[in-house]
Amino acid sequence: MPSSKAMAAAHPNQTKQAGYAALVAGTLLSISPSALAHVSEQGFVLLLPTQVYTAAGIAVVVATLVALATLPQRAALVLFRAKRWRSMLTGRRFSILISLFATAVLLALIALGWFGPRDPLKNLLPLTIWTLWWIGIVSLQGVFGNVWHWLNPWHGIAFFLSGDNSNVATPTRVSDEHTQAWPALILFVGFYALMLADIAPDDPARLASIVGGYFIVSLIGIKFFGAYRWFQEFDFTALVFRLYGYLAPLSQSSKQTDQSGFGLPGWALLESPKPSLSVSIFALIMLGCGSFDGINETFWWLGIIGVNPLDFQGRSSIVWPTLIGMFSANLLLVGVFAACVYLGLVLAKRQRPHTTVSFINLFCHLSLCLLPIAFAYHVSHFIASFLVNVQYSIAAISDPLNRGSDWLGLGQHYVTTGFLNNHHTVEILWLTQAGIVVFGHVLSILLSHGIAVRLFQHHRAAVSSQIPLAAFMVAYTFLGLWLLASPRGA
Amino acid sequence: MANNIKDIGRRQTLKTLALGAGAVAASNTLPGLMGHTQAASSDPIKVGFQVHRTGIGAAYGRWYDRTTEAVVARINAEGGINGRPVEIVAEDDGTDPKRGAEVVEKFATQHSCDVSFGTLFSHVVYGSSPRAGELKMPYFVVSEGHHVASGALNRYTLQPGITDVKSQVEAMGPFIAENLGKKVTMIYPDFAFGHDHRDYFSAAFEAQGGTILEKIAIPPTETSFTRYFPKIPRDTEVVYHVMVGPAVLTFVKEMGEFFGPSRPEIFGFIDSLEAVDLASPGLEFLEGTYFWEGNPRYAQENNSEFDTAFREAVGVDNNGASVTDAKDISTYGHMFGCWETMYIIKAGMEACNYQGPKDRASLIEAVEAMSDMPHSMEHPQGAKRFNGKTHQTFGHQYISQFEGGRLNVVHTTSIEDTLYEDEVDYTKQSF
Repeated sequence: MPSSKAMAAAHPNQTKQAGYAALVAGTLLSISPSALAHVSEQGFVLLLPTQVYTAAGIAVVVATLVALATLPQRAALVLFRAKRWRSMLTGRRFSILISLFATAVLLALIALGWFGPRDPLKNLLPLTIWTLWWIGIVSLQGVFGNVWHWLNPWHGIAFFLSGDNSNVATPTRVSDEHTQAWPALILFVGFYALMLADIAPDDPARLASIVGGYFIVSLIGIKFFGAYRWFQEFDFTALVFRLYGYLAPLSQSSKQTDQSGFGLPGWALLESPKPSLSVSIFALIMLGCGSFDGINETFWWLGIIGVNPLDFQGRSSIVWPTLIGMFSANLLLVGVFAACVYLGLVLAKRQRPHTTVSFINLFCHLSLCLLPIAFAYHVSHFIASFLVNVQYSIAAISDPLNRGSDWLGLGQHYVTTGFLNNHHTVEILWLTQAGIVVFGHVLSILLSHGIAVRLFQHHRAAVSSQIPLAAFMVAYTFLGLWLLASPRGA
Repeated sequence: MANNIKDIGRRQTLKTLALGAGAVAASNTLPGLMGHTQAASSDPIKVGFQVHRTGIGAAYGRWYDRTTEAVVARINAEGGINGRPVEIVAEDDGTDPKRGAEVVEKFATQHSCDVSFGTLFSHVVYGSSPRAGELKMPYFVVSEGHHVASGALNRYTLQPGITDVKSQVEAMGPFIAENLGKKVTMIYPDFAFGHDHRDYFSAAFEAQGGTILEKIAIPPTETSFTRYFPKIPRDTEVVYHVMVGPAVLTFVKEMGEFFGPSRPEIFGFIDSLEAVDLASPGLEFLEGTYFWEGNPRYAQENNSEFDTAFREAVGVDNNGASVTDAKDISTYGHMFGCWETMYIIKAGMEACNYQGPKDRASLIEAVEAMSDMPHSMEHPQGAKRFNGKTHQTFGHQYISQFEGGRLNVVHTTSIEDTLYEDEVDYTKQSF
């Protein structure tokens, strides 16, 4: 045998890791965060003139700010005037039936998680939870509103559990400042921690236990606290959907809530009462967690936590850095936002010294104005994963037990990621993502200005109150576009 | 046979089965297999497939899964293993070593798998192999890592279906020295992967009388490379590059801009561009340059019937792309390893008349006893020579030239070119 030079015995860091090229060629085939690293298209993104695109996006945001400062006071409010109508839908029986159907589907999915295919991309539970629900239905909620009101799998059971009809209807809007949602906030943070830091959030059986556990806890909660309180204060899913429902241009509510209408996305938010502090912070945390979900994949973040982005050793190696980073990012966001609001109030009081607007009042109202950014991040961040995993979902619907059935008549169905491997389609995708991010920021600015005008009833005071937030929005636009353009490695 | 096919591979789609059966029919290399009779036990042979479904290995995982489905469909269409159908139990390891160990444990304790198979990323192999050894679970990896042959693992871990990086890199030395030039500058990422290339190649190349003029290590987080190119000595005859990561396309583009029309010869590893469309902008600079390929992505003029049938079974066209999307490029340089490994498992089980987990040690011994494997439908990438002592296979390596937007094979190494001295003898370890 020909002798080569004596080589040192290999150890984990001295071997070729054949899959490094996945960082170029890879695609994320699951919604679990590491898999959400949109690495496949990153090679092409790095060739795009993203600096020019980013500058253009920021220019749009700045132009919006300048326009609002110079346009008449009511301009922003006029933009959000909605076409309203009285809903004729009572919908209670129908929605209960739909919900019961959703319950049956959820239970079937949980059973699939335990007993169905082990491959998370062939098992409908993880595909439904992370792709169809967390990306698809959440996105639909932000466009059509109230989607979750119909699909909520606890809503129908609640009718029978709570025994109190008045508690049955899932609130379609966030209620006033007296409704606290601290438990929902804690549960939401736990949900994101699972998504970002857990070693295997896609594992069907593991996910089935978590979803099944939450299902049972919800039933107990509904029985114990009543449906209304549960959905308002505890159930983080209902709160996420209610908050994003605010953004829907089209709202078709039930007769009781009477909030049907059509207008610029976010019109319903301007008509909402002041939320409680917990709901306000919940809205901020939605943005904070979503932002960190992008940050934690970047070369920049991996450098901070001392991880070689080309040699990522798996999620288990960074559980604590991820959790600490997530908490820190949220604390930082809430702190910076509060500082901007406080400084804005100081500036506004120079224009209108006797204003009765308090810090907490302004903080709570304005926090909801960040929802469009959070929603834009959500859609933009997950769009590539959705386009891939929805293909797996269709295949799994056609063959839920992975036994060779083909209920949908797909024939030989190969999932493709070719669109992430092509300069032209990657550019379209990137510009779409960037456009969504910029639009989200523009909406936030418009809403924030509108709320300030309404609270201060004084144009110059309102504009002054927005100056620190304007800087915040511009910086956040940069962050969002930078995240899209940055190389990622985890 | 009809009943046999009906029973087998319940996790395989009927569609894939049909493809597999078609591939069998198309091949003339399997006389008598269709006449197989079912053994007494029809319980399936359960193969735990440790697949990178999520995490940074997911792109490879998708094609490893597709290849594995195809080969299992084909094996089942041939009558299975020892008359028993093969059932794949796929578990996602998240491309994570800790999760990998958990998955191996699940194969052994929850799913009652006979063997585990399919791991690619080396850090997952390192995380999983000790657990496989403890559980006495045969662990067939498809990783290319030198970890198996280095002696760092255990008797239950084998890599019989794909060659390792050490043999690949060392086998490039003679070709480059004889055909491209004697003065090489290496450009590589500054961490273990790049260091392996630096060490293995420079030793092999210097043994050929060549000289490494410069070793340019690029920090892993770098996304622009213009400041590194001036470090390339003017008398460089060959640039050897192994850049990886999202900035590879930028690297190639900037290197092209730096050299312009007069450049030295350039040699790289397809790992840099695995699953990347070679028609991508910036890659036109690679015209005339050379690549190592584990298995030629593009069907060649004299393509073997085995490779043609392999492509058909997996659903890959003559350009290495999915038959349903010409832009969906496969990981062609690696995924054949799943196909070949599965056939080796089959051959091993048939050689030892494998009946169940009690025969796992016999299976290991049966595979250890293997040596030469001819180029065949079971080994479509080419002939192999398995070293039972080191648990590592050796085989032909391909060197291709980028011409007109595709890769044409210009040299195939002999198996002898890839051999190196044994570093371990696993057969001396007890079970």
